[in-house]
Amino acid sequence: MSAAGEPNAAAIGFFLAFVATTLGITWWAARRTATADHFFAAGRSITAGQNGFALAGDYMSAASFLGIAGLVASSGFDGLIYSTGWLVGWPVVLFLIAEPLRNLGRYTFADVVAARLRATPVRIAAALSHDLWVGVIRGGNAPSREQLLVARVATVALGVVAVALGIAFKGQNVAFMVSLAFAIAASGNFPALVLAIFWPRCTTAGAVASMVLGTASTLILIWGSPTVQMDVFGRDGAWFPLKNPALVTIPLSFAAGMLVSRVWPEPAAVEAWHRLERRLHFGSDD
Amino acid sequence: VADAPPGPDEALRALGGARTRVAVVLTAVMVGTYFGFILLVAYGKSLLAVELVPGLSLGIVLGAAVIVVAWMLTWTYVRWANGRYDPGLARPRSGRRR
Repeated sequence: MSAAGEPNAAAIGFFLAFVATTLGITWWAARRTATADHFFAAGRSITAGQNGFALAGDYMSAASFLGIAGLVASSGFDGLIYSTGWLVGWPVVLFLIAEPLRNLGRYTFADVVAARLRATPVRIAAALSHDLWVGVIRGGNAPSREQLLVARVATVALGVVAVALGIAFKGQNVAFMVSLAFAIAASGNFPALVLAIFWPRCTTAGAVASMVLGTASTLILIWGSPTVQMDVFGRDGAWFPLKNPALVTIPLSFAAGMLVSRVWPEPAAVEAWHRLERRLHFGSDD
Repeated sequence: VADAPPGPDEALRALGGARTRVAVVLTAVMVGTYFGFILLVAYGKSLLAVELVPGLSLGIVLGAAVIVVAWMLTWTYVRWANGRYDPGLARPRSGRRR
């Protein structure tokens, strides 16, 4: 008879083998990584097929195999919402957002939003270590070696934070935890991205307000959710009723972006949109 | 750009409009399919629990069908983009450079 949660030699062996293989591949790849361009975009030599495999590998993660299988086993059809919902997001992103981004030739969130709006406030709000260091602190000309060091330090720091969070949230379903991470990204990045691409009157201040309020409100409401208050801290109740706050925070983030854009218009951002519109649709300015 | 023939810009604009229409229709089908399934999960549990063969309920089949619909819509878009959109983008531009 196997008991759930008991150490199991075969499981631990498989776990160690997978970790060792992953680290081996990473070490092999890291030795070939010389520049920041290699680090972030694999030297811009990834083919569509390789990118497809990377996305598929990302998708077929622990969240899919362990988390969703567990959710379906414990919650029945409600668990199926996760398995279908995540897949359904991909085609919608392809239809609505991927083509404009390809035409624009920008692929990171901050690059896209900064292409249209004033770059510095956007990069500070998006708070990517690399962007912050290169674009803001060093004014756009840090040596490639230094960029790589900053990126590596940030990666290690993120890893430490991830392990700490993993320990704090142990016992939570992994698919549910991923949905919380998605909630933060969907509230912090998605509204600003959509407004910057599709709304002529979107301003820099509006995008920044949307990012800051979206991220902050999601973190605060996750803090107040039953998951943290009751499951992690063991309290009797939680002051925010929903386990996943995205239903509240995504509309809030959109509203903040639109309200601030309306109250403080930015003529330069409107002009930039008309320049960008052709690129978004046709991939060229001419 | 001033001596460019009037054709290409209109062609590009039509192509942009066509892309928007294709994207909106495919998105509507995808979102409609997904939320139809979600509504069944929420309100039609007894229907989804009907077993087609022992051990295989209608809910699992419909859940898999949502995934297959997503594949088919993606395939439709990729076919359209490779067959119409990308060649359409390339044509007016190469015409203008001449």
